[in-house]
Amino acid sequence: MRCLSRGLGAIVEAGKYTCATVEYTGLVSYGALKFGGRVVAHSFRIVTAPVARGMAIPFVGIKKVTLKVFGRKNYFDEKFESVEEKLARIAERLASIENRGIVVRGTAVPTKVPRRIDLGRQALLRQIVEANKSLIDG
Amino acid sequence: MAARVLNVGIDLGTSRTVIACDNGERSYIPSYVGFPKDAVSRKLFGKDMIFGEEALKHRMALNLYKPLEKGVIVHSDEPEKEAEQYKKSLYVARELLKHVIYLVAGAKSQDTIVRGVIGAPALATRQNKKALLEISKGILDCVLIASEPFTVAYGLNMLSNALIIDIGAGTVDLCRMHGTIPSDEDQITTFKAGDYIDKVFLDLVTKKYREANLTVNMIRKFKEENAFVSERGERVCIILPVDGKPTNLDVTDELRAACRSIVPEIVEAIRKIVASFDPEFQDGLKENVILAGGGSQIAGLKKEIEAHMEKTLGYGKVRKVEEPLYAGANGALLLCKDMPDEYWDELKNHSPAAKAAS
Repeated sequence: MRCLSRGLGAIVEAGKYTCATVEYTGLVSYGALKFGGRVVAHSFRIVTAPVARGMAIPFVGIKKVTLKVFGRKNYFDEKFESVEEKLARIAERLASIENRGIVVRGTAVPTKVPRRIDLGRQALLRQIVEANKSLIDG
Repeated sequence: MAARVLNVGIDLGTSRTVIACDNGERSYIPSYVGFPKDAVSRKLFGKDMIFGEEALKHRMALNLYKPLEKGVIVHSDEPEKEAEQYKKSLYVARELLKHVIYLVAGAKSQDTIVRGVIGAPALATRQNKKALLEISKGILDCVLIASEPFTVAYGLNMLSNALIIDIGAGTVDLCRMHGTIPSDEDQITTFKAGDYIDKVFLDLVTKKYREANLTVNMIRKFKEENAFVSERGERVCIILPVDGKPTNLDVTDELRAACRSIVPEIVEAIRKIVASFDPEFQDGLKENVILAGGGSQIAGLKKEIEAHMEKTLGYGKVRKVEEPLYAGANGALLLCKDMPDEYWDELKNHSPAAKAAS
């Protein structure tokens, strides 16, 4: 009986050792794998990062150009608006010049057009005349 | 037969004299008159007086005169002090005026009446204006003197809620428009203008390139083509003789600094003129700041003034006139055309000559 129990004990012990060995081997393998993986990943990163960055440059450029074209839409709108404003002002001035009978170079004598000056402007012109009269007097 | 009436608007400037006529002709010349130095040069030119660009071109063979300084006829502030020189200035200015009228109207015939409006700096004195009246005698049949920035505003039809800044060679004239004739309180004249830029630029370039040979005329020409105040932009180089050899010299920083030298006074004048206006109408004024005159062509000046206005006044919108060179003369011409005949007659009958005749 005693022999039997010793045998069993040895088997149990052996089993335990086996388990511990397997467990240890597993841990060692895991550690080795993890370390190896890290080393590989690091090296991979070192190699691929500049390549990836290099590959991305044209796309970044495209993005910048696209932003310039579409993102600054307001800039063009503003430019168009200011050109439109300028044209409107020029048209307005041309009309006012024509109304006063000022002719374009090369055409005939200046035309005499009936003056249509509102009262406010007449008063303004009167003030200028008075200022000049006082200048002559002074 | 009824007399033919010609109307002209004249901007007698320190640097250029500009004229616009209602027959469609308009012109400008540098405000220089040259007289041949001796019999040889007189023979060479075949005339006793040379004007504008031609005078500048042949200045070595001429006695060159510039009848206007700081926007007014030289010595017209105190004519008694330098009587002889004042007389000479009047004579030269008169010949200049005669010449520009000839350029647009041709030789004056008996049946032609020439009426003109002449622009004067915003704060020109009574003496300065009288000198303008004096030189126009016998050349213009009827004449009116008006403030230069006012004529610009009149030409643009911006007689209300606008601030006109006329940057010339001798003066920078600021004038706020509020629907009436601007008074002295509505106007500011500063003397840091185009000529001041030339002086600063010349000093800076001479300091940097001591060995270079240059004159104020060379500097002025270069400035007129390249003036800028902005930080960004291409480098600008001037070709100047160094020991007789044309050399390319970088003057970017010097030109920028010179152009910027007039900005502080302009923005300070804007601040004063806006701050002293009725608070209810200040926004309208800030919204309508108009740059005219040759100096308005300085690249980046509009933005620079807007930035300063934002800092000091909270907001500001500046725009440039379409024709900076002709803005004053065009406005003066429109004013001339709008003036009713009876007003002209009234003015003519008011002259001392008419009074003496009656």
